Order: sequence, then structure tokens, then C-alpha cells
Amino acid sequence: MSLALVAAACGNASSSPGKANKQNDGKNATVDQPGVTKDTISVGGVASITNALNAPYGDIFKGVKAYFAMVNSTGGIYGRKLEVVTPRDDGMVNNLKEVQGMLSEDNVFAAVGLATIFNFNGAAALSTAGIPSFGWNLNEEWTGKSNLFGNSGALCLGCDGVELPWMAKQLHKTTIGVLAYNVADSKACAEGVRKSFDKFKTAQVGFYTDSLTFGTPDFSVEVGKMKQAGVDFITTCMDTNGVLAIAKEARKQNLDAIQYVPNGYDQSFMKVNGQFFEGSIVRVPFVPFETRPVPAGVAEYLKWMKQQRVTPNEYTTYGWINAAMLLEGLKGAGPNFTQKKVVDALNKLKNDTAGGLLDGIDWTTQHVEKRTPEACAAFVKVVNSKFVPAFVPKGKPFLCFKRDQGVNVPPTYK
Amino acid sequence: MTDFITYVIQGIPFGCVFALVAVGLVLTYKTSGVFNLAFGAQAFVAASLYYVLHVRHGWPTLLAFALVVLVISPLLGLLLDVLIFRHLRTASPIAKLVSSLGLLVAVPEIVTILVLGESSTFGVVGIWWNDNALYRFSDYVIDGKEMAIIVSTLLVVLLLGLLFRFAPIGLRMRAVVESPRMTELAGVNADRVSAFSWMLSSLLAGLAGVLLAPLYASLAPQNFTTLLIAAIAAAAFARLTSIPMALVGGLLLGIIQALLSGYLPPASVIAQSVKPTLPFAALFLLLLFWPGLRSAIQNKDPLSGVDPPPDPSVAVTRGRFLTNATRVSGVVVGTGVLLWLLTAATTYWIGIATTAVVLSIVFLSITVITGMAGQVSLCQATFAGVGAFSTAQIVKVLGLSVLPTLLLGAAVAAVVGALLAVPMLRLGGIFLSLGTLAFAVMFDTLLAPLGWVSGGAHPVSVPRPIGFVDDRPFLILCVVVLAIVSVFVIFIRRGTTGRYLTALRGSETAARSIGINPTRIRILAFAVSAGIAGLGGGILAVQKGVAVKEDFGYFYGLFFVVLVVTLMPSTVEGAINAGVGFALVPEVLKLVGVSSSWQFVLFGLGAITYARHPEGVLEFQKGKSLAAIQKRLPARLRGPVPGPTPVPTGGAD
Amino acid sequence: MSLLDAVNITKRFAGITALDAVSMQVESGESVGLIGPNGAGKTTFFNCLLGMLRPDAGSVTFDERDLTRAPVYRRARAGIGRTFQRIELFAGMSVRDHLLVAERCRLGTGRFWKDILNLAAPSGDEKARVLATLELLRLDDVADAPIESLSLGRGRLVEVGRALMTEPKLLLLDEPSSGLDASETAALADTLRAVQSERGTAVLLVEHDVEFVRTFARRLYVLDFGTLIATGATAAVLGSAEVRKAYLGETV
Repeated sequence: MSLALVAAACGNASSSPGKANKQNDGKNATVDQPGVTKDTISVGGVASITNALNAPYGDIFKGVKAYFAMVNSTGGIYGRKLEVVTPRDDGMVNNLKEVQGMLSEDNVFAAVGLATIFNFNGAAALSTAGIPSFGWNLNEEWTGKSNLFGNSGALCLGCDGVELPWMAKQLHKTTIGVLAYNVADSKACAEGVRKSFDKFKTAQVGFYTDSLTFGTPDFSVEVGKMKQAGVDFITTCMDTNGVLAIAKEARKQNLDAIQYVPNGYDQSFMKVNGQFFEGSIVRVPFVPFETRPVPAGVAEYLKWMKQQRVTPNEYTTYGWINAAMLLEGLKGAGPNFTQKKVVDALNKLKNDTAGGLLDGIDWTTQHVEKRTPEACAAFVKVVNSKFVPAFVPKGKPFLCFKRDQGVNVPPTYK
Repeated sequence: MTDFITYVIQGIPFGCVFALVAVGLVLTYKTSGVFNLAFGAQAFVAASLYYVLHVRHGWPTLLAFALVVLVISPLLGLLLDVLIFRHLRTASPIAKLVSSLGLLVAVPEIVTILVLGESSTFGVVGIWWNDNALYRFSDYVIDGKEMAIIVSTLLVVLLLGLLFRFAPIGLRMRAVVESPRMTELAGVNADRVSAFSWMLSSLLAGLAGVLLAPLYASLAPQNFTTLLIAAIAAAAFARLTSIPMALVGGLLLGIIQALLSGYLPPASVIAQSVKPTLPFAALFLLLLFWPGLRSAIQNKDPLSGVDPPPDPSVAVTRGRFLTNATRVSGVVVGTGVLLWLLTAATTYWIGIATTAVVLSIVFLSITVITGMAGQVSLCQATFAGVGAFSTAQIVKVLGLSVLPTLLLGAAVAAVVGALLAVPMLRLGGIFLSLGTLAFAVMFDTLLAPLGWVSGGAHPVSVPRPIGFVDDRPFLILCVVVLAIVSVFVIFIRRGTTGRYLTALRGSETAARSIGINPTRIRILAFAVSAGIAGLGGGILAVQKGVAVKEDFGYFYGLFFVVLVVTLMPSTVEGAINAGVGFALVPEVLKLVGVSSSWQFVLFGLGAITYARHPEGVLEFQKGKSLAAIQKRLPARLRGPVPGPTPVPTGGAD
Repeated sequence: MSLLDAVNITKRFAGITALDAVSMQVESGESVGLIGPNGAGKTTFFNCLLGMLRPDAGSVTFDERDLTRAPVYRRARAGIGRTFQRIELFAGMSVRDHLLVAERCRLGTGRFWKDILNLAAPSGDEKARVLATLELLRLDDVADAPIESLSLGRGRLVEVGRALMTEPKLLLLDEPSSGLDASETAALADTLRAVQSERGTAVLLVEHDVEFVRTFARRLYVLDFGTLIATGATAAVLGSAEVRKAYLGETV
């Protein structure tokens, strides 16, 4: 496994972040950098805290703060404590303004906790400033900017992949239903699913629509048609409203199909709605909390979430991942760290696991590379309203496919 | 045929929801003349309270339902009537619409902040004993939440029928619905009827709220607002007058939606464009072609488009001394701020100032269309979007340089505005407002997602013009453009067009009687306004470096109107105040340490006062302080004191 | 041919015939009255002449042009001026501006590009003509007062002045005396006579006040239940038994 070798070469990049302080028990080196004082390093961030969906995107800061609490509890790094100053609200697509505010008003060393649900046009300003930036890689604006580190490599919404066809085969599903809103991102995602099944013909797409109305959760006709077409595997590119309404409608019309939910890893959601999703597959962009035995990184994360009295969710996890990456960068940069050194250090990493929560990002290529040689992802299955790791052996959270590998070649695990 | 029947049945539950909303809208429109855009907000209040009581605090279904829907919702309606709408009975239909618009913007934010808080709202539960219980009717299955909707709608129909047929208050309401003037003459206590109809309508809103909530995974005001706008089509079908027709219209809307889903090929371009736009396109077409609606407008409310003009602004009534003092201090402060911005200020504050300036340009479009022409257009943000997308696409495709392209973008927006105005102006009044709202939502769902418009998933970037790449030169450029547009607007106001528009606002009949062609002059006003908005939108895109459709969504169109009418709709100064307010208020709130969501509450509640102070709250306050200052000034410095108003101007013939 | 030639104007509302083939001629410079009891169809007829309503049958010819289907503003430009029963003024405008707007409208010189270049200020000619009319109506002392500060009687004169600025060949006065006391009414009649002698404008008067009609109109039309029941010289019509029964009997 080439990636495993790379990981070994990378030294302590994936070592437990809790030991961060051990590298610097000497005097604090003098650092003349924004947001850095004798004993603190300040960071800021911008997230869609208020949003029309009332979703907790702002929780990303809770994750960042929990990680900082962990690091600070053992003395911080290079004798300095980490702190989040003024988390900023993207509101109604104000992130350019807020990014500028963070850069010019908040005196911060890094941007940690970026989660903007619409266009991330502040990305260019961050790129120009060269500040180390970490966030939830949800927008294409993340692509191609060497100082922006997301929770994954560059996105490609409309690209095909082998994962889904492989999964359909494993689950013995024959007919796929693809549903998307009449919204650009959603459509592109549906297109990617269709391409995947065109390329890897493990099942046929029996129903395809990308003309659904966002905000009107009535899918009775669509579900009826899927039933007629014999759909047994539904993939959506939709929000929780849509996913849930489809699940309820499917049960109502007695459609015997499971769903593949690309972004539904939310324990509090599944706790109350799990009955509609029995057997469904949810994609998880990091190590699922349910992995057994619990990997050290996850255990540490859950411990500190508990200590901070925060219920962990997708967004707190991104925050934690973002903070972990900053720490890796700081460690790589050394006691005389600068923003540039942190960015450069991270960009040398070929297997960045953000404290053991990711499958490993190769920052030498993945800022721009849309088609990495290998792609990994974690999946969980809904069983009794709870998530259970799926398709992987014990202790290996990730399922990895080579890009050009056929659907019959077994995946590797990581 | 069996397919057809299945689709029809599948459309009924949602049709019932539309029907309930449409009935609520018709009730208040007919009894108090208010087209209650806040209906969706009221539904959201009920849904949120029900969720908190039932799900978070574990109250039994029946108790929570009774308290929320049968007690709190009617009380909320009563409160709205007593505090706001009762006092608006003589106000123009547009003033009433703006007040409800203010509520639409403010109320959901208040509820989100005070009732729901930060924690998630998953696990929304309905009022049926089990939302997911299944009921089989031969081939078709209905679940609990749909059963609740259908049963509630039937009950509402039955009870409303009984109420209007037998109960004394119902009979009076019916009388008011059929002929408000006659009822007044007959000595019916209009206050009581209005209070009762508000309570009833609010109860329906509450019912719609708790019925709708379980259709979604979590509670979000947006769900309710979108649905409300969709249901307006059903109300329009009922000509805003007939309750039975509103029910039919709602059901039809739901059924047509299901039929379209059933028969249109699901992945086709036509399905993509027709289905999501159906309710808004239906509203648009109904407004234009539904004979009943048009005759209702023509015969019953010929002057609905005429807004009583505001009192002369302070700038007119204040004396020369005060005028000069105001101007001098304005110039001093403005120059000071500009100097600070150009020397010491950080990128952030330059950005905020630039936003203030650019938005001021957009808001000048509202000065023209609302302040001067007296029309409330709810799609000014959409016009700004048209300008922004045109600018971005022309620069990208034709490679023209940015500055001249901004003018082209403005021209495109102006043409769109003029084309929209041609059919819309036949409507006038609130129907014009609703039509522009339908257009805005249609643009959002149909055109904005398309690649050749907004770039789709990849927004089109716009470079800054050469020489203005840095923030400071760009700010100067924006200030210059604002100055030019301001002068442009002032010249139009002073010129023939402005005089004609003032005349039309004062009295359309009289204006026509001296030979003014109202359609031509208003189309001109629409085109100019859309052009200004388009220019502002284009500059906004240049400022951000990219034309993003989220910046021009329909909600912005609503919020812009709310913002500008709260401050000062009729003057250039007012537009600039609104621009500064838009950019600065969130910063002030941040300094105070509260969520910037409060800006919606602030301006939303501000807009409610529009009916009482059509000149704008700020202007009203200025007037008050002016009076106070003038009292203390020596007599020779005072201006003419505005006299009383003995002559009624305008009004029905 | 007559200045105004309305032929067989018929208008129905929901099956009820409000006007039944009513015809009327007005000659240049003449003053004509239209009277009738409440609900007789006077206002409906007026609105049909002015284009506020579209008649179901009949035609309106004015100054040898067929205006039957022309919109209100086009009739105004053809030379029909009017005042209103319930006064209709432009709030927020001075008295002078009321007349200036009408003058500009008559000239048709208001171009949008002139507005933008700030070339739309009133010309010396325009100002002079407005001043002449203000003096004729003895409104020059309140020329720059806000319209809201005027009394009802003078407000009505502003309406007359505004209509005169369009240089109408025919001036339609809709119950000009309503809301005015006797002395104001007399003053108005005097002014109208002065206007007529100076400008030679034909006047069609719809009026309740019989005295006003008697002193002002030379010829009368009488409407009752949507039909024309009498027409002729003022004195003769007011003397006829049928008119007395239908109309005067009710009001006197």
C-alpha cells in the first residue's frame, strides 16, 4: 500500500494531538505574526450561523473550541494557548465581507472554522492574504487555493465514481432511483450518480428526476413511479427535509427500497427518524464515531466533546478536524512559526488524517487534483435508528477504491 | 385513467394545505383589506410553539393543540388587529401590504430567537395520534399527517359553512365580505367583525402551521413562506373574494402539481422548468388573464394603485437656515468619513462603506418606483440580479471591459423592467406587488439556476475595472457612480417625468384628464427603476468579484422594500440612509453583542409603521425634532410652518 | 358639424340599462347644462364622454375626430378638459405646478433625455402662460402655496385653471358648486363667464344647483332613468311640466 508507506514517512502527523505540547517545553520563541502574542495564538472563522434552514452550521466553532481546550489543557503549543476570537456569521452570503473583517479587524493567525453553505466568495480574499485557513469543504471555491485546507480534497460534484455501483452490487440492488432538486449543485450531484452507473453497470437507473421543487416536500408521485419501476435503491442529492419526506412516502406506499444519503450523518436526526431509514446507507466524510474498536482520534474527540458539554455532530467534527490540521501545521512549522511556514508544512503532508479522523489527504496534489488515484470514504448503515459501520472489517473505517479500478476488484480498507 | 385518478388523489393533501392558506388570505383581505403576507409567519409561530410544547416539553397532543391553535393563534390575530391593522382601515392597500410584509420579515426571526433557540428541531410531530399510521383506500394509502390535513380541511369547510350560514357574527362577516360599504351603512360594528375575522384567519394560520410542520424534517420559516407564496395563486383564483373558490383553487393547485409530476417526463427540461415554477407561474398568469380578478380590480377598486402621497418632506418644510445647517453638517461628516476611509480605515470598513454605497444605488431604484411612482415593486432585487448576471456574462462571453458593460447590464435590466411593467401595470396596487413577487420567485426557481444566467453551479466571476482593482479606488468609483445616479434621480424628479409621476400619485384620474398617459409614464418609471437596480446589482457583483444568485433572491426583494420604506422612501437622502443602514446596522448589532438577525426584526417592525408614516420613520422623527428645534430658533431663521390640510386631495370620484 | 357629437350612448351595468341611447351636441363656445335627479345617469354619461367608461353602444365624435374608443388622456389631448365633483388635486404640488404640469402636457415637449440633462425647467413662455391663467382666475396670490393650504372654492378654481392650461375646446364641469356656499358659487360663475368670454371655451355643466344652471347655461339636457327627457333652451326646459315633475318637483 503506497499510502501506508507515505503515512509512515510523515512521522507524527497523525500522532495523538494531545501530546502537542511535548515538543516545546523550552522558552517561547519570539514570533511576529498576526494574532500571536507571548502566550496566545488567536484564530477566527466564518460560518453560516444564521441560515434559512435553521441548521447548526455554527457548531463548527464548538468543535474548534473543544480541540483548543484539549490542547490548552496540556499547556497549549509553543507555550501559547489557542483561542477563537469572534466567530463571524456569514448570514445571507456575506462571507466576503466577514472574511475581510476577520483579516483586518480580528488580528488572527489563522482562519479555523469556515462553513459557508452558499457561494464561498471570501475564499479569494483568504487566498490573497495567504493565511492558513481551515473549514468545511463544501463549495467549489475551495479548489486550487494552496492555503485553504478543507476536510477533504478538492470536490467534484458531477464526477463519476465506483463506490455507488460497487455498493449496489454488494447489497444486491438492481434498480436505482435518482432524485435531485432543480438546483445547480443538486443536479450536478445527480448527474454524477448517473454517470457512475453508466460506467459501471451493476444496476440500472430506473427512475431519474432533477426537477423537484425545493421547499415543497411532496414526493407521492415520484415514489409511486419508483415503485412502478421497481426501484430498490434510492440515491438523493437533497437536504434532510427531502430525504425524510421521501423515506416517509416510501414507507407509506410500501416501496421496498433503501436510501443512499450522501450527507445525513446526524445522530440527533436519525434518533427521531431512524424508523424510516432502516437499512439505508449514509456516507460519512470522516471516521464514523461508531467505529469499533474506537480509534484513538475519535475517542479523544468524543471525550473532549463530552467534557465541553457539546453534542457531537457533523459540524463540530469539521471544527475539530480543522483545529487538528492547524496544530499539525504549527508543529510542522516549528517554534519560529509563521503563517507561511504553517501552510508550507501542511502542503508537504501526503497523508493528513487530522488527528486520526480522516482517511488521509495528500496536500501535495489534492488542492487541485479532482481525480486522485485513490478515493476513500466511510459508510454507515442505519440499524435500529443507529449508525453501524458498513462494508468494512473491524477497526478499518474507510473503504478505498482506485479510480480506474473495475467494479469487480475488491476495495481496500484503511 | 387509473394513473390519472392516482395522481389526483396524491395531489389532494397538499391541495388541502394550499386551500387552507388561501381561505385565510381571502378572509382577512375581504374583511380588512389586508393582503396578509404574514400568514406564513403566523403559521410558523404556531408550528414552533406546538413543537416546543409537545416535543420538547412533552405536553399531550390535544392540550398543546388546543392551547396553540385554539387559544394562542386567535389571540395573536386579535393582537395584530388591535395593534396594527385596525388602525389601517383607511390606509391604502399598499400601506397595508407593506405592514404585513414587515411582519413577514420580523416575526419568524423573533420566534427563532425567542422560542426555538439554537437547538435542533428534528422530530417534528403532527396532531394526528400517529403521523405514520397508514390508511388504505383500495389502491391508495394515506398516512396520519395527510389524514390530519384532509380531516381538518373538511372540518374547516363544514364549520365555516355553518358559521357563515347561521351564526350572527358569521352573517355579519359575510355581509362585510360581500359589500363592506353597505355593512357600514347598516351599522354593523366593523371593529368587531374585523377582530373576529383576524382571529379566525389566525386560527387557520395556526392550523396550517401545525399541519404543515410534520411534512418537513425540521422547522424553518422559509418552508412556510415559500408555501404561502405558492398558495397566493389559489387566492387569486378566488379573486381574493370567494371562500369556496379559494378552497377549489387550493385543491386544483395541489392536483395540477401532482398531475405534472405524473405526466411530465421527470428528467426533461420542461419538467425542470414547469414543475417548480407552477404556483408562481399560475399566479402570474391568473393576475394577467383571470377575468374575474381583473374585473374585480377595475370595477371595485379603481384607485387601488393610488397611494396617498406623503407629507411634504422635512427638506421641503424646513427653513433655509436649517437646510443649510443640515447640508453643511452632512457634507462635513461625509467628507470626514470619506477621508478616514481613504486613509486610515481597514479593508473591512472600506468593504462595508462600499456595500453601503452600492446598496444605496440599488435603493435609489426604490426611490424611483415607490417614492416617486407610488408602486410597491417586490422584485427590485431580481432586477439587480438581472443587471449582475448580464454584466458578468457579457464580460465573460464577449470580453468587453467592465465599466461599459455595467451600463449594458443596466440596460438589460431596464428592458426586463419595461417588459414586465407592460402587463403588470394593467393591474396596479397590491396586484402589481403580488405580480412582481411572483416574477421574483419565478426568476429564482426558473432562470437563476440556469447556466447561461448565473453560471449554475459555477457562478460567473467579474473582474474589477482596470485602475479600480484596489478597494480604495473602487470605493471612490462607487461613490462617483452613486453621485451620478443621485443627480440623475433628482433631475428626473424635478423634470417632466417627476412632475407627471407626482401628478399621477396625487390623482390618477385628474392626471389623465389633462392628457398624461399613465401607462407610458409608469413603464418609463419601471424601466428607469429596473435600470438603476441593474446597475447597482452589476456593481455589487463587481465588488464581490462574482455574480451570486443568493445575493438576489426574492427575500432580498422583500427586505429591500421593508428597509427603504422604514427609513425614507421618497428621497435620495432616504435611499442613502437605507444603504448605510443595510451595511451598518449588522455591525452595530454585533457591537451591542446580539445576533445580526435582529436587523430583520428591527426593520420589519419599522415597516409596520409605514402606514402611519408613509414618509418613513426616520423622516417622521426628523420632522418631530425639526419642530422642536424650530421652536427654539429665533423667528427669522424658521422656515414656513406647514399649514393644516383643509382640502381633501385625490380620492374616489 | 358640432364640436361634440355624442350619438346614442348606451351603457348597461349587470343587465340594468344606465344610459339608453342618449345623444348630445355641443357647439363651439356654447355653454350647455346637463341636469337630472340622483341616479339619472349624469355621471355615467359624463364618464362615457371622457373615456372613464366604455359605452356598450353609440359613438363620441369631438372636433371631427372619432373618440369612441380613445383612452382618457387622448381625449384630453384632443381638447376636452374637466373638473371633478369631488376635488382631485395633486398633493404635494404648488398651485403654479398644477398649471405647469398641464401646460407641459399640452405642449408635449417633456422628453426623458431633457429630464436627465436637467433641461426640463419651465421656459419663460410656459411661465408667462401659467401666470396669465393664474391672473385670470385671480389665483396669483397663492401661486406658490402648497395645494393643501387652499380653501375648497379656490381648489376648484385650480382645477379649472389646470384644465384651461390644456387649452380645451370644451370644458366639462362636474357639479362645480358642490361643497361651495352661495357667495363662492356666485364668484365661480363670474369667473367661468370671464373665462368663456376671454378664451371662447365651450362649457358642459353637470349641476344640481338650478340657480347656477339657470344663470350659466344657455341650453339644457335633462336625463331621467337613463333617457333624455327634455332638451332645449334653458328657460323653456326648466318651464316644462315633465322636467318639473321628474326633477324639480323632487328638489324644490
